[in-house]
Amino acid sequence: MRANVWSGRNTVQVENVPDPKILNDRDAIVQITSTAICGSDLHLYDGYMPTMKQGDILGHEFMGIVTDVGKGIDNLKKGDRVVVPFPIACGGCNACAKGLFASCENSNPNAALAEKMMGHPVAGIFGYSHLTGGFAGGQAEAARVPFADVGPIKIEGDLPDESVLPLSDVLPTGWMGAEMADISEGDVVAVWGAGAVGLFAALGAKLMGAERVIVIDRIEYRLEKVRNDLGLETINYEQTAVLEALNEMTAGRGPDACIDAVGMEAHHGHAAVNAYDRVKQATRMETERPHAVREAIMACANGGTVSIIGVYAGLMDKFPLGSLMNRSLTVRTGQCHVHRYMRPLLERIEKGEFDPAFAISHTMSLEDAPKGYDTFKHKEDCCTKVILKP
Amino acid sequence: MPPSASDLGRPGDLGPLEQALGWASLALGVPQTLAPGAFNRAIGAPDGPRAKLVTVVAGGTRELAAGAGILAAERPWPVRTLIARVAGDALDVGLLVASWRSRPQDRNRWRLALAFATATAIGTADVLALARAKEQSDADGPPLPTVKEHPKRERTGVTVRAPLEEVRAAWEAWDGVAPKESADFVIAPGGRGTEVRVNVKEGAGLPPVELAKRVAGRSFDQQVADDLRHFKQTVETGEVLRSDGSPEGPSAPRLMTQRPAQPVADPTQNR
Ligand SMILES: NC(=O)c1ccc[n+]([C@@H]2O[C@H](COP(=O)([O-])OP(=O)(O)OC[C@H]3O[C@@H](n4cnc5c(N)ncnc54)[C@H](O)[C@@H]3O)[C@@H](O)[C@H]2O)c1
Ligand SMILES: [Zn+2]
Ligand SMILES: [Zn+2]
Repeated sequence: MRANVWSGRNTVQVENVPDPKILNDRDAIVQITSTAICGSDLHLYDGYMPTMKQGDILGHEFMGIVTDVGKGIDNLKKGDRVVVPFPIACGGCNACAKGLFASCENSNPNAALAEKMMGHPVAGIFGYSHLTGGFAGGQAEAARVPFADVGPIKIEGDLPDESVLPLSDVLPTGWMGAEMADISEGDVVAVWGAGAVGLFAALGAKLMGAERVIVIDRIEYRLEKVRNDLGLETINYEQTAVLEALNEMTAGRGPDACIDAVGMEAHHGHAAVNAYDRVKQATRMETERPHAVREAIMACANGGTVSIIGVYAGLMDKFPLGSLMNRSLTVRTGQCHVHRYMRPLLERIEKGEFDPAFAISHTMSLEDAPKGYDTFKHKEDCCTKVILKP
Repeated sequence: MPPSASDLGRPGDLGPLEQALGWASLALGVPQTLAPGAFNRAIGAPDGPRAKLVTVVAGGTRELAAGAGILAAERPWPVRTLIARVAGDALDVGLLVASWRSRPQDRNRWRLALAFATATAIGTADVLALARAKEQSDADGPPLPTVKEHPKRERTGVTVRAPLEEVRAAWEAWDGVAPKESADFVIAPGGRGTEVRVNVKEGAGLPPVELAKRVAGRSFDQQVADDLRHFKQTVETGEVLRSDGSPEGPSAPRLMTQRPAQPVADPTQNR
């Protein structure tokens, strides 16, 4: 089959690779109809996620048609149309029992490696380095899906791929970002990053009843999307001092919740500060470029919540722990426990409450994956989200 | 493990005398450098342009260097900086004596006397600190908290989400690496299943052999850890999960030799 593989920093290529096969009884094979490129893939593409290997098939957001199932699977059959959540979860461990699917204790064969780097292991993830298991990803014609009785959700209606594929990651992730913000009446919520994750976090915050939602980015076409598609307020951090603007907008209180939907490759408006963390990251003295999360902490109202949904890999410098501690802030974070959000969010989409397809800007052939990565990385051509069709 | 040059302690590792001297150096150096005229008037010394220059060069710069040397650079036993300080103290006393002689009629001479007394006291403190620092650094190097190799744990454990009797029965049937009879089973708190603990300590071989085994992922505790993961997975999920990178499931040797994350070509199809 054809698959998009990682072949070193800033290089992906579409190659012929062996077809996936059933390896475990609870596996399914999915013939992929749509797969997306994610901001998380950019961290791999840019070479900031450790433990990648040349030849790794990328992609953790995919959906398609079941073509084969292992003998332990009886909830799915050939021909079923499914969306696959990006974390792999067994459904049987203590973490899964608590709904913490992205912390599953049994889905990462390389748990020992993760344990060394992070203290305790993390779950398996499709196409997302060997730290998360070394699973082939979904930017391919087909993929093997372990624990297929726990993860994939069947799509029965005739919603187009574009409206349900976001269930695999970015919609639940943004949603969880908003949920962790613990929004109550009168809350002002600020969201850093207007990528797909930030857009869905803002949408979630709005639907959860936030009084005001303010989205921060510097890419004007994305902020336009926030204003036009979601009817929310924006700040362009290249034109406006964010902390001062937020202070004024909240009459000095600061936002009650701050959501970081940017992650480890944040950019800073001041060239010097930007350069400082770029150099440290490039020389591996820190793994993160944490401008957004620093700002989110400083901005947050006393006693407020900082919800970190952007991805971080390891160690960072100049984390404003003093601000966090002295002002009674709460930090909540996690890889998204996608499984627990798929059903309720699909129901909302089916009811027509919203259509997540608005976040998708580009549809390309799988063969054009390298171009898709390049366009998405450089935010060219008003790109917010790329879908690839094998 | 001996400390590396770059982690020779923190300011708190200095003795109180050294700390006081370091800060006193900074406290003296700043006014001497920034306001030499005012400083000289305060101690009753001449405050003309030449005297001011002497205060900046021979006093301020030197004190700042000494403060920085003690507090930041040469920790925790700043022997060389203290030698420089003792030399500087001699110079100070000399300058004060020269000032005393140069203005026999001055009614501010009492200030010079006070400064002289202070300089002598500081000099004495410096000599004492130097003696102690020299002795310490000669004797046993920096007084860092000793980092001990912790003894290797003898037991390791895993929590399995299943009732104790079921876990015990599965263990009886399990054909693994972990020393079977060493296992004990405890009900985990709050409905978390069963805690299983086993011995991981084996009679250690020669250190180079042990090291080579560890590097290859084949030391005994690594094997036991893999085995426990396999056991837990089998009880909780019915099987051992394989990935493209680790086709055998959890395996420490495989961590060093990951396959790329793409399907294995089917050997029977000869692709
Ligand atoms: N926790 C999870 O489970 C999970 C899942 C998916 C994605 N993510 C992470 O979410 C983050 C965003 O993903 P995406 O797909 O939306 O990526 P994206 O690259 O499309 O969007 C990131 C946006 O952040 C903006 N940005 C950069 N620096 C900023 C700053 N200092 N202040 C404000 N905005 C800034 C960029 O301009 C860009 O628009 C990534 O880190 C991704 O890895 C996390
Ligand atoms: Zn994603
Ligand atoms: Zn699990």
